[in-house]
Amino acid sequence: MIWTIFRLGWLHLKRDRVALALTFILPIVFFSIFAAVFGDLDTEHLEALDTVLVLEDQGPTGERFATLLEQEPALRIQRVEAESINAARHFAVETIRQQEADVGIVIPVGFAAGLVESGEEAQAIEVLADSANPLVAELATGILGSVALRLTFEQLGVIEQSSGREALESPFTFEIADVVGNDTDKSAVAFFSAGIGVMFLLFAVSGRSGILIDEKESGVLRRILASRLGLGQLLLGHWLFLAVLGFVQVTVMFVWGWAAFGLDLWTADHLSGFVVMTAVSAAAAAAFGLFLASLCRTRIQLAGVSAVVILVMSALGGSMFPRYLMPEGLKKLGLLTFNAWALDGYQKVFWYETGLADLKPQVLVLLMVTVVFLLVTRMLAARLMRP
Amino acid sequence: MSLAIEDSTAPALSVRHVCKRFGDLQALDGVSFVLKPQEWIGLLGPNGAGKTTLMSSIAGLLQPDEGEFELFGQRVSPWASSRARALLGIVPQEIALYSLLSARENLEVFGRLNGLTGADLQQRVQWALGWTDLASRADEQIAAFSGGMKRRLNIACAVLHEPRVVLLDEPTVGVDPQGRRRIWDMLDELRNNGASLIHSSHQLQEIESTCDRVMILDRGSLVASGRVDELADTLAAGLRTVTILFNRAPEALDLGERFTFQGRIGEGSVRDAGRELPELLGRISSAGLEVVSLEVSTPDLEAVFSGLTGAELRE
Repeated sequence: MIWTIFRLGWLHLKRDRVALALTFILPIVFFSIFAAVFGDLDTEHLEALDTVLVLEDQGPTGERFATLLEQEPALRIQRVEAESINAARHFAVETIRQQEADVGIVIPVGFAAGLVESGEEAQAIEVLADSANPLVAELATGILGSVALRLTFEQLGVIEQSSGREALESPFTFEIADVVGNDTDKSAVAFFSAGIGVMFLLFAVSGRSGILIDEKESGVLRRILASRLGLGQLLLGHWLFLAVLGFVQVTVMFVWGWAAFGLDLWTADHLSGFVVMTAVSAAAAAAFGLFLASLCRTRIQLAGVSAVVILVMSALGGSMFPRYLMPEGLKKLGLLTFNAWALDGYQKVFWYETGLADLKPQVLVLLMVTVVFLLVTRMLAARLMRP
Repeated sequence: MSLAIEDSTAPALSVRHVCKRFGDLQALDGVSFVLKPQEWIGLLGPNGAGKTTLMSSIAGLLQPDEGEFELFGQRVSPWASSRARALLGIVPQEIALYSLLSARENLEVFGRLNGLTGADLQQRVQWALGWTDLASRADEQIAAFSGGMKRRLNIACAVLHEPRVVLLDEPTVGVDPQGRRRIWDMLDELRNNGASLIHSSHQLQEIESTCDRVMILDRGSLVASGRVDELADTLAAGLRTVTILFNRAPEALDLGERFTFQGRIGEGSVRDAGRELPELLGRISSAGLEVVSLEVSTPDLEAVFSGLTGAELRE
């Protein structure tokens, strides 16, 4: 008797491919993504940091320091040549703001004053960074410290026996300057509001899009399509509702972020960017939800497929952890997901505070996603008409 | 395209040579028939005969590969013309309603989808609630309704916009006898108010007792059409059912292979009653039995249906 029930469970699982995927494949996929992200955090496997170098100290020590930095495999150095020191620094800051470099290093005049007993105070070496990725600044500072130590050894000549036993105090100091964000805590709230908001936006709309399956199963679809409403109008009606629902859902999330965690939502730039990004994200998510519903034959199938697809997309697309933690391959793969484009847009609005014009790539991609999924859904939904 | 009914004497619906194929399956193969104004036709056929495909084609849910449709004398393409669909109402076999909505909300949704608005909509909703005896429960979610109540609402949602041709797919499935009677009365009222009905069902008795005419569809083709008694006469060609009650259970009585016995009752059929019945009575008398009663009747719709479509399982 017990064996019969056991066998019944096995037969059900064996014939439910979605349940099989949820049971065995999804955990492996998740494990692989997490392992790929967090397993590569040791420096040996890290990608070289794209670094802009502003060398204000053009003396031999400064040149030597720059050369040592260029020889450092963990850094990919681009020297800034400019007419003035200010122009060079400005260029470095803009390069980081445009996300064309990970970090900037400014070696000021007098940075090596501590190497000789001149009585002058050594100027701090500046690490220009985007605190949206706090790891980069810390990593760059660590690498700088190591290179600076090598420079110290060189400049001091042969190390005396005694110095090997005593801790060598670095004659250099470092300062990390955030050139993008201005309030780490609040911006982190924006990141998590967007990440979680987008993931649950997908869950909400894919769940609600199951109404299409309900209508097919209950016969309501036949009744509707025998009325004056066409299939295209029916899908557009559902899409519009899901998009508005998604917009309201994300708005509630951000307003809660403002009320409870001080998210800076009510400036003109933030608000307009938020409205644009939420509108296109909700539109794309609604189209994606309907696409999933038109692929599936039953509600149970839709729930399983949605869970697998949305969780994988959220992991790859940056809803669960920032994409800067990912190896390059995964970062590129993430761009195939809806989440990555939506989150990049929100990050531009709340972190980089770029104007609406800079949201163009994200807006265009998400609008394209909307149109493509609506068209595919219309084609797939035609089979719903068959008796 | 305007579809005002200009010729009220024209057939409500004419279907000519409709064909529909799904891959290798010929679902409809040259189906033609005429539905007169205020006529109530029963559509019968085994599972997979093509009934739903035919209803779907008429309702505009499917575009047939071949064939023509006329509504009140005007050629129409229901799959392409929402105005043509306005003259049609379809009652799906399923309870095709939103279970989380109330009866009134369901009626309002389907009324709007069929072009009703404002005061017209409210007036028709009130009519439908009265017609279905659901006025007192109009604002309750229908999930709590009985099967019969849902069935009545299912029909009302299809006729709210006053279609002239109503397609009913198994409208009384799962309903108790009282509920069925109420639905038949509702349909009769619809017909009296000017609608023509096509009523698909597996309940042969229901079709026999309610419909003016019967059409039998099998393997995509219309194999018979007419009044039940006409079909019986044509198909049976003089065949009569004979039921005999004996004074005692017969033992070793041989009335031929067309007769079976259960207790004191014998049932069978004869082709030529005038010649065969005296012969049967002679055999009964020779066996020392007496006939308490003898009933001779024409075959019913079930006999006609089985005779035309065979008895083998079709699923």
